[in-house]
Amino acid sequence: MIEITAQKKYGERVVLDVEKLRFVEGEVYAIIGTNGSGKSTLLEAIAGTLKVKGSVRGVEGKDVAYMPQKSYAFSMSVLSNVTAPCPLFRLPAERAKAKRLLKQMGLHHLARKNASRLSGGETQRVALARMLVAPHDYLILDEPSASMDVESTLISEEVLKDYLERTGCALIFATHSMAQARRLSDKVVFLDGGKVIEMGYTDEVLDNPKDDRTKAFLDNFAR
Amino acid sequence: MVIGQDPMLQNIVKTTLEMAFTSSILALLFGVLIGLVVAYNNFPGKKVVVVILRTLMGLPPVVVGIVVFILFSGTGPFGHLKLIYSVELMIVAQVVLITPIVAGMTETSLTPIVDRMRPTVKGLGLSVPKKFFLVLNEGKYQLIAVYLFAFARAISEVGAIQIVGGNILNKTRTMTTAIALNYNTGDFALAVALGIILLAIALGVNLVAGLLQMGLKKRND
Amino acid sequence: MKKLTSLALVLLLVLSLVTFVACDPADTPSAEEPKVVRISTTTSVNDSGLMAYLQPYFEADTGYKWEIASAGTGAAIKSAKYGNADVILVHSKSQEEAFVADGFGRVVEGYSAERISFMYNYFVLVGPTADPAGAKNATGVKAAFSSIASGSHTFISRGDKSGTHTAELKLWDSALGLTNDPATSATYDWYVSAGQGMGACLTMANEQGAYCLTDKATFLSMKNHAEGDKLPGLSILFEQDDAMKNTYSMIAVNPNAPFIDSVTGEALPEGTVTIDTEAANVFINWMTSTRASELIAQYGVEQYGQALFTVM
Repeated sequence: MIEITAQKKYGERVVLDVEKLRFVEGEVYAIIGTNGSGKSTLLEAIAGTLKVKGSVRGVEGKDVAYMPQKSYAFSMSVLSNVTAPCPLFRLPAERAKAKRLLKQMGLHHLARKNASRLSGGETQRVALARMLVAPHDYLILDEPSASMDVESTLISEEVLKDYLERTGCALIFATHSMAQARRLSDKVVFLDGGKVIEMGYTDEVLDNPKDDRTKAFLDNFAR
Repeated sequence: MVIGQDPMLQNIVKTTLEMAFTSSILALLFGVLIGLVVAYNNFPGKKVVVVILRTLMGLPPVVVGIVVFILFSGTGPFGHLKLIYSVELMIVAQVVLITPIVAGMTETSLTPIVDRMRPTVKGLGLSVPKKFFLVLNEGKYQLIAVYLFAFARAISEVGAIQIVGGNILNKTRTMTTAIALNYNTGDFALAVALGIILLAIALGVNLVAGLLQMGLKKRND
Repeated sequence: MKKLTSLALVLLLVLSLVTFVACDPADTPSAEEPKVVRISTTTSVNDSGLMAYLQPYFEADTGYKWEIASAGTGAAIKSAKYGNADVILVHSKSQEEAFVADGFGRVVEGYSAERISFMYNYFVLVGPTADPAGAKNATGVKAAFSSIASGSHTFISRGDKSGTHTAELKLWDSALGLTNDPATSATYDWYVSAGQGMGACLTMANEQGAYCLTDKATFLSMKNHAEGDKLPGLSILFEQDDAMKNTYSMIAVNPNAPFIDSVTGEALPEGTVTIDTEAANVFINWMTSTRASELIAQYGVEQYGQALFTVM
């Protein structure tokens, strides 16, 4: 279990202020909120890629993998991009695994293409495949399908679910799609002004928000 | 003037190439390592380090020559190595001169690339060698240009190598020190001819690098 | 941040402007264009410090300024052939004679020949104080040189076709086959052709415990350096042999000489080059005057306890 207490300020503006926020292994969390509510900052704080005031407990010895909003495709073949995180000595076996993964995601035809020439959506799909080639304890994805079309989003979600089932990995992801939150997550965290306003089971929070701010946010969404 | 028939000229060209290639490649190894570490990591005092690196890029060759000379001359702290007036010591002086240039140029040219890559690379939790390999792979065009500049500096250098190498015939005489000598002896025609050979070598190295860049580009498509 | 950037830009601009203004020679007002004599000389003449010592006296006495370009003997003479000098001051008899034979010399009124030899000193053989070749006890300078060669003791040669290099080559046994052309000269492990100036060669001899032929002035100035002895390993082993005499001469440049185009190497049409014969005359007459002779004879006495040049 990860427990995070963190504060982050840029100048006078507080962008993140959470206390004893807990994420349990094997569960799927969707982080929702408006732009600038602190979603990305929270994810980066958990992943350890951003320095914050406070502490993140329970990550020692755990494999935490993080995918930023804007993923970078390395200037090499798509296949090599997917196997980039793998240790060299395991490369042949991992390549076979990566090929299967690309096929599952419908990217098979791009395997030999240089990844730096891909479109935004393709880049994001390759980046997701790259996250799924190795086993992790926590997967942290920042708006993983923001650049994808509907079909790619659905395919990617299936592959992701399959991965989570097989490995028992926990997932924490930020999204602007309530439908995606419903499809993927067990629990939802609603952030506003860097603070956790509401947290609970996905259906409960989305259908019966307790806080007015959550309600307002969801109403805005429904309109 | 045909190089193949003149053992003195052969020796000068050989010494020049040995010195220029060895020193530029060593400077590339050290400089890229330093430049990458500075570009990739954010640490307190980074700006100071960058300013120091960029200042060292302007190290005057004769100053480096004199300092290396003092350190390695008979009475100096490294005098026992007996390296004075050798090609090896010329390479040492060149590496001291060129490493900061490579490091500074690497830092400057790779920083924008590294900034774009950093979140992804950090998020993947990669090993240090793997990170280095990935950043180098992204910056390979820039690094070829950096190497060409390092080589150009190495092959065109006079001040430092004249002091530590001594311009000894058939031992440490290079094309540039030979050109300087030929000016002093009034053999201007020979000096110009040597200059043309020097340019031809530089052209050759640039052509190879250009082909390499083209090859890389092709592989990218 | 934006403020900081613009401040830095303004600072940079001001700084470059200041340097530009400070470096502009036109900015320093000169009351009157001084008359100038252009002298082309060799590094060894310049390095001895003699010219710097004489300059203020010359300028005070004659009202002329002098501009000295110093390079190797070959380049110094070539520069004069391109029309860059009114007078040359060198110490290499054969090259001076060739210069005159090619029509570049002019007889100054009151002198019998183009080549005016006006002072001399001696080259000295220096080497490690232990003197493994036994050069110190040789019967003559040629014997000292053959003992260096036969024992294969390291010798640092200027190797730059300078007056010193030319003098050194005459002291070796001709059977060794050493010449001033590095492409055709014989090579030996012990014979190091340095291709550098006198000071650099002496430093090298000191580092490697080697022998070297030098003019006395440069050697003494490095021995008695303000920072201390720069050549602690070297001593004078042989001097005052007639074969080591080093004669300095001046030649006024002929204004109607067949000057050479420095780019094409072809003869320039007459009248393209202006030579100030008057300035050359003033320089030569002053250098041979009693006043200058006394000054030259005094040079080095105070600093090294001995005169470095003898006036002829």
